[in-house]
Amino acid sequence: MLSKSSAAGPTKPSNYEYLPHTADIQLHSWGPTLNSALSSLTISMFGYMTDLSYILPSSSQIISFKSDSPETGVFKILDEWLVHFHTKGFVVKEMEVEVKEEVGSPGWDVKCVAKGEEFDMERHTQGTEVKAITYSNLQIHRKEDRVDLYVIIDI
Amino acid sequence: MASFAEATSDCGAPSTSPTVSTVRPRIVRTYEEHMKYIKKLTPNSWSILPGFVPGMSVPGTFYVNSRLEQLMLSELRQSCDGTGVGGFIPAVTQIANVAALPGIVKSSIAMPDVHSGYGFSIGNVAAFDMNDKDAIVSPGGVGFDINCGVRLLRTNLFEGDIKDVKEQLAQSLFDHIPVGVGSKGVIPTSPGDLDSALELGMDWSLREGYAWAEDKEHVEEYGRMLQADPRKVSKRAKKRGLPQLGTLGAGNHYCEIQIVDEVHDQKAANRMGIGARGQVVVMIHSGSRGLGHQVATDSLVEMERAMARDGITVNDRQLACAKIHSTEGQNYLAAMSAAANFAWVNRSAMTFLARQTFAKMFDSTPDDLDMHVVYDVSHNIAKVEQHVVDDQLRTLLVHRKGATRAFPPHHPLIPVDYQFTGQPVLIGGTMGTCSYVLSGTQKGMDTTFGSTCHGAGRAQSRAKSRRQLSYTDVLDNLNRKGISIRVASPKLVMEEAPESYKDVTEVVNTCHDAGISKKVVKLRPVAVVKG
Repeated sequence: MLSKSSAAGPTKPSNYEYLPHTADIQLHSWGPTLNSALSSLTISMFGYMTDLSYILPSSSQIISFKSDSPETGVFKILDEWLVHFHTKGFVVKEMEVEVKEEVGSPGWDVKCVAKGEEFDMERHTQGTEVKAITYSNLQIHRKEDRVDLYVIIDI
Repeated sequence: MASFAEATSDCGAPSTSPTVSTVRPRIVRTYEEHMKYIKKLTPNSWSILPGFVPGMSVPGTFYVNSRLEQLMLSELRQSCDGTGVGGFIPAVTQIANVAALPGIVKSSIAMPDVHSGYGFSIGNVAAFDMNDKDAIVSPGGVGFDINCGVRLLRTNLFEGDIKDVKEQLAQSLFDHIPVGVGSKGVIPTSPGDLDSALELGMDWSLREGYAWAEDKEHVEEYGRMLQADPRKVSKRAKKRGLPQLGTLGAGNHYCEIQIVDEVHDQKAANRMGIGARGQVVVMIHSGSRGLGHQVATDSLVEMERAMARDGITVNDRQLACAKIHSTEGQNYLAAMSAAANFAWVNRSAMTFLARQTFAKMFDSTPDDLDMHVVYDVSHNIAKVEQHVVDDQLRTLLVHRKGATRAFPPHHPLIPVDYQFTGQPVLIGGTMGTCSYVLSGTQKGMDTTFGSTCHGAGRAQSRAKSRRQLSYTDVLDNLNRKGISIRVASPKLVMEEAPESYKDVTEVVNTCHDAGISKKVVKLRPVAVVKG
């Protein structure tokens, strides 16, 4: 397994790993709650793009949306942040997420607040570019005390 | 032995979503049971029989030689041994899943560089009947990097001419061409310019002075897809594309200075102007950047709705598709074409930068250095083409995902310069190995919809490469081979190391032996610039 400390730096314990996939990378994150697993998942994606230990949590950005299924919810969190990166250069270092599950429907109401900063080629390292998020074998495993997420990203 | 169903089981899976009731359940089988559906046809090709996955209306075909077949089958075996968590769908299953899509014609075909992708495998070619009202178009059959492709520029320089300035030349290319994560293009573009570029493709590059008139002649579709409609490209995609025009990207994209190392077909090589051993050429491998990626992402969402509405059933959620003649299908093709135009403009911008680099270094002009475009191929694209199937001329939508068009001599769609040689096919190797120029053949036209391989194809996962190789070793290795390298993310070069890929020579030889393309020239790198 890739050493996690090299990607995330000494800042916070990271609950994620990069699993083998022939062409792409499968992100696997986990945590005691859905929110913590989603947060780790997002950070794992940015950890592949740059060394997060050089990123300062100096500014914040918010995204919010509604999804019609949990899978779309997971997909969209990553996709929204990826677009933020590609249009504004914003790199997520820390993220708080709140997921409201709608009663009687599988949909999610999602709000994320992320801290990070704009990517700067002078100060930050270049990792691999993430092209897109995929639904391929996207998995959400929810148990009472632990949530595991698997997402394959195209790089 | 764990069953196949466990390996790719639906635990917490996409099928729980209400919008995807159109995904068929998977079949439970052991590896041995799977193998009853897979037959070796010739030393270089295999067939996947209908029944391997549900709903196959045609067989699957894949081209591998005895060495490459082991990779293919071990992937299938591994998927049967899985634990049921994580994991991915093996390429054999993906080829078969495509053979179950509505309107597919003849066979779902995979090239020797095949490996697991999402939805379609990488290396998959599939054609759908334009006259079948149920036939589909699938963004998964094109891939996220729309019109990712390879361009080759020739020069009249020889290895001896660049020997002493190779390091400076590599550095200068690296300084001229924006590479890597977060890099921004140097060509000034406003949103209005972007719309023009999306509509006009290389005609825009020509108008703005970044391309030569004769460049267009040596590019598929003359560098412009006429179906392109910038209005079908989302704002979000345009926002991603604007700062990235004229950037190389990262991952497996690169710009290489190469040397003509072996000439296999002297006549064809002469025709392409690369017939002299030792001659210097420049290869550019890049695509449509964030714009194309976002077009693909946007279309997947739109198509899921269309599938539910039109009752289209598939075997894998990532095979999202829509009927060709539906609004969603037409919107996708218009947006895909615009993204394809973006990619050609992008490669033209980098051609411009490469020409400037050489001109400055040799105190000459690109013209005097004979820096013409040999050819430019698209290896992630869907195109309307005419093919003979069962003795009938049919109009098909041919998807090539990690496969290259390889039209034979005398085909009306290839430039006049190559009428007698067949279309040049550019095969980018892996960092530090060799690349090839091939030509299209009639046999390829008859059997693979005029298609052949596109590159080496990954053999090993990125995570495994990171684990097993050290970047200093990889860089030292290149150094020993006399290859200069400039890379934006040195710590990731392991992922792109030759060890992570199939042997490109095996891949090219398989295609040559199967007769679907012919070897013309082998190229050897001397300098690599990448993200």
